[in-house]
Amino acid sequence: MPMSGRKTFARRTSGLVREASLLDTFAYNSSASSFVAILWFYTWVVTFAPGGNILSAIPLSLISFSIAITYAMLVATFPRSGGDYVFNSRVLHPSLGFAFNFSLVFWQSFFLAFTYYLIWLSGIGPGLHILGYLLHNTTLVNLGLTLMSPWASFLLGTLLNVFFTLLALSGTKKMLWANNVIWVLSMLGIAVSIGAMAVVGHQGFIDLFNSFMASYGGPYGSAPNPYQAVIDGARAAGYTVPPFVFSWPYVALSTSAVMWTFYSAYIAGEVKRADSVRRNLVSMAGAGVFNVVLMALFFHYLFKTFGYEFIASLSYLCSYSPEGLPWVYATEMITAFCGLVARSPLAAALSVLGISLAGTLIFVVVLYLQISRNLFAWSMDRLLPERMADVHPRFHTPIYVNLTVFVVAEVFLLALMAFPDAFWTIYGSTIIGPAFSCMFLPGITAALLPYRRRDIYEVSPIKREVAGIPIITISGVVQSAYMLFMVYEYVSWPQFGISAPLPLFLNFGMILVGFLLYWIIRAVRRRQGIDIDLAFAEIPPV
Amino acid sequence: MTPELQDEGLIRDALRIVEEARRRGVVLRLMGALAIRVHTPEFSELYRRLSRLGGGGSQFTDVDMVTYRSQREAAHRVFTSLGYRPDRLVMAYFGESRFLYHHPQGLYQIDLFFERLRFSHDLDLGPGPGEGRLELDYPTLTPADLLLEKLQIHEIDEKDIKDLVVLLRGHRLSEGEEGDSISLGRVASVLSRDWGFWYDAKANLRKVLEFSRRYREEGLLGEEDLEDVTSKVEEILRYVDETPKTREWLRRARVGTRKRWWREVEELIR
Repeated sequence: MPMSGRKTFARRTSGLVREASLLDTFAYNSSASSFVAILWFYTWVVTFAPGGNILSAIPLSLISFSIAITYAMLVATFPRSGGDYVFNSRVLHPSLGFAFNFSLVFWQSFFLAFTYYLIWLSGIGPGLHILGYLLHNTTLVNLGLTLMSPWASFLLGTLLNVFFTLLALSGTKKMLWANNVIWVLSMLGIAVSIGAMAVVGHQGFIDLFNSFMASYGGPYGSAPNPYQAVIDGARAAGYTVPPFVFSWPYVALSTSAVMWTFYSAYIAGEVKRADSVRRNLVSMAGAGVFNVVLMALFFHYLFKTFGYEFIASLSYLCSYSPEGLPWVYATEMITAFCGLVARSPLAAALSVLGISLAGTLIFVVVLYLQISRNLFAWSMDRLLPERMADVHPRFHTPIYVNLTVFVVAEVFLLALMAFPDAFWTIYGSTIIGPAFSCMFLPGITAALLPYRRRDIYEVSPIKREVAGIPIITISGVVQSAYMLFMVYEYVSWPQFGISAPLPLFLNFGMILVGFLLYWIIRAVRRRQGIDIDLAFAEIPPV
Repeated sequence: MTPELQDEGLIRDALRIVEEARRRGVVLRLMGALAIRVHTPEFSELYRRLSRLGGGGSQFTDVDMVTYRSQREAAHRVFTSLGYRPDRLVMAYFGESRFLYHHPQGLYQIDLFFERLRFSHDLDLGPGPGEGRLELDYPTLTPADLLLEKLQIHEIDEKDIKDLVVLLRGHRLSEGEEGDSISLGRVASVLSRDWGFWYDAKANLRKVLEFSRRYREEGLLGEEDLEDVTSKVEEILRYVDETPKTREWLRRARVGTRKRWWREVEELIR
């Protein structure tokens, strides 16, 4: 379709039913920004942040709604699958569009593998351990402990990789269905956890924890009050619990519950009425509101029931002095405690399953579809071999794209198993890279859209101004500025591990790699007699 | 080339594809406006007079076809062997329900659907080769299914109404599946199971009456045409009303229009 923004396509294709409804995209966007991953991150950040009250950081993090708002407008203007790649390459320059998207695809491929790995390590493993304890079943306890190992996580992660690849081959409808199931189970688990924490209360948790540790044994388990022993143990190890006050790193962290809720942009061509700003705002910003409320409730009861001092102390011990504790990583304890306070095996199973899913598999479908749609879009634009975009009539999906996603995820899974500590470090230090890749430049694109592509803006549904300034320009500027703030926060806190040269390169260097790759590919294609500039002169039709 | 020759060329190409598919054991049928045109050759002049797309240009721009899902690979090979280029974007994103092919010189495109048609409402054309409805007629769907395919449209536009006028004018009504007739049994069977489809179908049939009267006033329809179409519409409405409804239909009828009763359908390109 030409870039005039007007429908010059004379021939209409018979009515098309798009698969993704408003409810589907609401769940999809909520999944993309699940706060449970932040919950797990909290257990690490609390060991170094000067204040641990993440709840106080939420108001400031709401500025990140500008991301969902900007994306809602961009998608309404370009209701095409491919997200940032489509907007940026067609409005700014193809090299920039590809560069930033390349970085996103690279890192999200890594995170896809990570979710396959992490669910066993930090979710199902500790969950089974707790279930075994509640049911007095040593088999379950041992199974849970076994799953919390690199090789088990790799093997089971591979099974998940196979499963989701086969699901992707069967089409978008089944992927959306799977996402809805995972999302519902996650929300159910979170609701059960919140309810259980509210009912059990602080003293109730102390009693449960003490009983659990007594059965586990070890130096903490044999103490008269294991709960207090944990706090004392962290102090003895040199840890001072930060005061429960506002802290800037948590603004960046709590933002993560909101900032990814635009992910339906990557499947916009398959979303019903994606050309409606109102609908996009409901599914994007609405999902952000939902996530923030849920996160606030969860953290409120987390502090009230488990106790801030205890959580911070235990997090420190898990990270720096884990001897005598059942958990290797601090992330595992949250899942375990949610199961513990549920008390009944059924409620514990729901809670543990929900929390496990909400921190890991809830991201799989959204990541998978984003990666595959971007690879497909690159191939359609001749940046990848055309063969990649071949669609097999039996599977009616781009089979080579899906296989590529599988292979790349499998390579990362292998690396995670072989070098688990190195990859935890990489994971931790690449928090901001993927976000910057898909949130900074679209802000610039949005701000400049009314000026660089006046023809598109004039006929778009987002043509609204305040004091003569297009709303999308204002929103885009706020979005990009907020992303710069996020980068500053992550880079200026040494404990995030980003300020050193290697992590800096990991976070932002892939953009440079993508930029160089674009020009190399363009030159290679030119020699083959293919001018890829022609593809970028048009907006993809879907 | 005149518009009439362009239309004839399109029809010829479409029939050639269906015939090639038949030769290879693939059940492929025309549907939509082109199928109605093929099934009512004696009323081609009426079609031209009604001018479904307005102006003096071609009356048909694209082709709609349907096959069985189990034969989609074989059908794909038919199209590609004849030089038609598959649209990979449409196949990748919407391949669950349709494939799209472009004429080698880009003159037109062909939508290929599968036996379970999902538009504003559903129309099921049978489980598979040998057991479905596609084999009941050749080279198009049966007249009853062509009628239902149009009646299911929630936001029907005038070109579809004109298609219905010609389809009704060109066929008699019968109870069963009889030769070149519209099977009332088939129409009533579908509409008595699906309240939403029934609601929109009735509304569309009433629009056919309304527009037919207008076309008569404009001289596009003769008196005989109007009487014939009117009597057939009234007969269909009566037959459908008298057909017992399923429990699911009755349950849905209690909700009525308080809840949306159709599926949203959009254009491919927005």
